[in-house]
Amino acid sequence: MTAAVQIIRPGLQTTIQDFGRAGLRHKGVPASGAADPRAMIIANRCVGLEDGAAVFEFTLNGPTLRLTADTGFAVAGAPCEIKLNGRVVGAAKGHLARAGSLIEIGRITQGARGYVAFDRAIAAREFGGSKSTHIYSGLGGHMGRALEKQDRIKLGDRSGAGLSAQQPLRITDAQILRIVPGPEFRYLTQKSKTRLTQIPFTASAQTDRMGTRLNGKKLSLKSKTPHMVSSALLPGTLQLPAGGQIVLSLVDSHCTGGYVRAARIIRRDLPLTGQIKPGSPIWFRWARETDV
Amino acid sequence: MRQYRLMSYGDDALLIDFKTELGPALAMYVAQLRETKLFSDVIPAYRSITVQFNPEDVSEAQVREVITTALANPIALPPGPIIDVPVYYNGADLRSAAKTLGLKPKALIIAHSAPLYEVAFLGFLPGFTFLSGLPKHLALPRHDSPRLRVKPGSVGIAGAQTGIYALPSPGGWQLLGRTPWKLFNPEAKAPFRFKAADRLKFTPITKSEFDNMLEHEA
Repeated sequence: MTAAVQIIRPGLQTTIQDFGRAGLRHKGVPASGAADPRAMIIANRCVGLEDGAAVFEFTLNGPTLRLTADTGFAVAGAPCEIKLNGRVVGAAKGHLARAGSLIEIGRITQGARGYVAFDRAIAAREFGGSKSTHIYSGLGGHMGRALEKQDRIKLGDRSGAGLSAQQPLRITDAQILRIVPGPEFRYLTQKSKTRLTQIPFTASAQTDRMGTRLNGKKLSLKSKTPHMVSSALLPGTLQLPAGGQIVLSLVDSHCTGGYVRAARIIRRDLPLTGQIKPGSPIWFRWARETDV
Repeated sequence: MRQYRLMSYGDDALLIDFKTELGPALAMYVAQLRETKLFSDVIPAYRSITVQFNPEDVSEAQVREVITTALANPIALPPGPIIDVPVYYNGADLRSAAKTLGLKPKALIIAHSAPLYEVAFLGFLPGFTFLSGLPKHLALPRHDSPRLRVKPGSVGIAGAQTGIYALPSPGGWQLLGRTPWKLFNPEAKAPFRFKAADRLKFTPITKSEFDNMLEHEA
């Protein structure tokens, strides 16, 4: 029997991700990839695979999986309960699951996303050199969509690299994200420029891998703000539509947009955005020269 | 050379902001910027080019210098091929758009299918085709609240832009018609039907011609 993972319960949204497909935004293809690559790397290291090997990314509520063959696995990222055949096991640590084993991943208590790595390659669609799922365009992953009950994902041979434990991440709901001014920052009113880093925001229910709309006091644009023409949109951008509520673009965001790009999160803090869930408190801080 | 401003867009990207729409020069600048091999992505748009780099490999000051040199030496490119694109002009907004513009629907169809457009860039979602060359008098406002699902192949106008949706997606453009052609096929050897600098000519077709040529699943 070939090695495979059976999806018994898919969880809220579980997709196959890796480092994503960079360099295709000029074709309209978003990068995608693990929303929190730090956690994906830890999971992969626990099972002795390369940092960017494809993994399962789960959201808020983890999946239940059955393995058809002996397989090493590890779970890392947002804290949650992990059970192997009914027994609780630790995160950020490689475990051996015998053929027929059941892995049950519970509800995430802080943050939004966790990662399951196996010591076998995950079979998935590839596009642009990546297996990452982009649901909106049906690219990568398992049939270009989130995993569903009764899906059966084929696995390759065991790597044989050995299982280990890694230092887990500390993940919290609240996020402090460092930003630098964006190309249209100058169109914010003086009051809004100041407010941006002085008031708290909260991620709204409209939060997914594409982006998150933030609740908080409204920001406003100067009255003489010109009409925007479509231009590049990069992940981590604080867009400000006329309505005054920030829309933060994330890993799956479309490649061009037409809103004011008020600011952008620095590269180092981008992985933190993968842990934003509805209700997460968010503060923005101006990055210092030494941060970037 | 065109006038431009360099603007920071995060700690790993710079936006080259041009005063006016570039037309054919856009592809030439993009080609030269790609040639530097310094950027993980070079993203053109109507009036801007955004370049992304790794700040661990190169400083923003170095990138600024490279851009200045590259833009002074655009690579000359031959004009792109002319492609006749069939369009069934029966979009959900055709009548209201014509009314807004003070035209009969038929006159709008004639006016929209007359120009030779150029593919300015692909963007938004995979294969979405942004064209340049829309006659100024056909500019239309974007819908205030976008439709939840626009069919793939839909041809529309938003502001002074016209373009074609490649995939089903939400969208706020005013829809004039639809091409039966599939513009993005991830399984194909060449997944994208059009590329920047291609020149497109819309040919109005009838409903039965559309049905016969239909490549979309729905």
